[in-house]
Amino acid sequence: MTLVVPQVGELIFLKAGLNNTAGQDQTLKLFANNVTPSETDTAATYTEAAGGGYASKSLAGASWTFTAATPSHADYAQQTWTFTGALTTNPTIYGYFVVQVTSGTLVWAEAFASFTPANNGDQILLTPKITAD
Amino acid sequence: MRFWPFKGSGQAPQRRVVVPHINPLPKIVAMRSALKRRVPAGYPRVGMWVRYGSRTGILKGITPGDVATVMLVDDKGENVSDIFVPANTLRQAYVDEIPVPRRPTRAQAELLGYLR
Repeated sequence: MTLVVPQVGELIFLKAGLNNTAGQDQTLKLFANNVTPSETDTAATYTEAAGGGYASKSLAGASWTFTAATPSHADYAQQTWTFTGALTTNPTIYGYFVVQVTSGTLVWAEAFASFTPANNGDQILLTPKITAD
Repeated sequence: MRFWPFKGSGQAPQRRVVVPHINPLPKIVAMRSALKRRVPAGYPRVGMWVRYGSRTGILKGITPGDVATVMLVDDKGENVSDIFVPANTLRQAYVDEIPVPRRPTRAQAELLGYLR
């Protein structure tokens, strides 16, 4: 599914772009509740994965690369989660969501094909990319 | 091989004029056509809450053929099933039709057009 920037996330992009409020680094998290991202979502909509060796990832603003093209886009290095076994809360991962590191405000979210970690060494690979179309 | 004008035939070639047979679009189809539909500004939006019949869902996208992909949700706002339906069979949901756990604030609902 296409990533969804909810209304709260749209405001973040607008305020940062127009120098109203400084942007922040982001935290990349996997969610383990079976939901489809919507425009009214907040960070509380999503149940973060827990257990099984899971930990959220930091996305530093300085580490994004930007490409002026048609359309322009921002790319980040591939992120890898290597699990040690099953999750301890909800067992299945349905997607990821990104929040601001300090405010905790939801910036965007995206569902992907669900995956249930079960074995030591199971991996999820994710390459963050945003296209401004 | 013979080329026009045909020499020696003494006859002009027959010309067939084809008049296209135009059937007007049946009124009922025209009225329901997505192409004729007036849509509010900003509609549709991927991620918006929509109503399909008596079910609430989230719009995931619309293909060029005007076929919408909608994820129907249960009363907790969790996924039930994907459906593929003509976009003109959908309407934007009202705030009270959005599952309680995912219901926006009144202010946000008003901004996004979910109030009745």
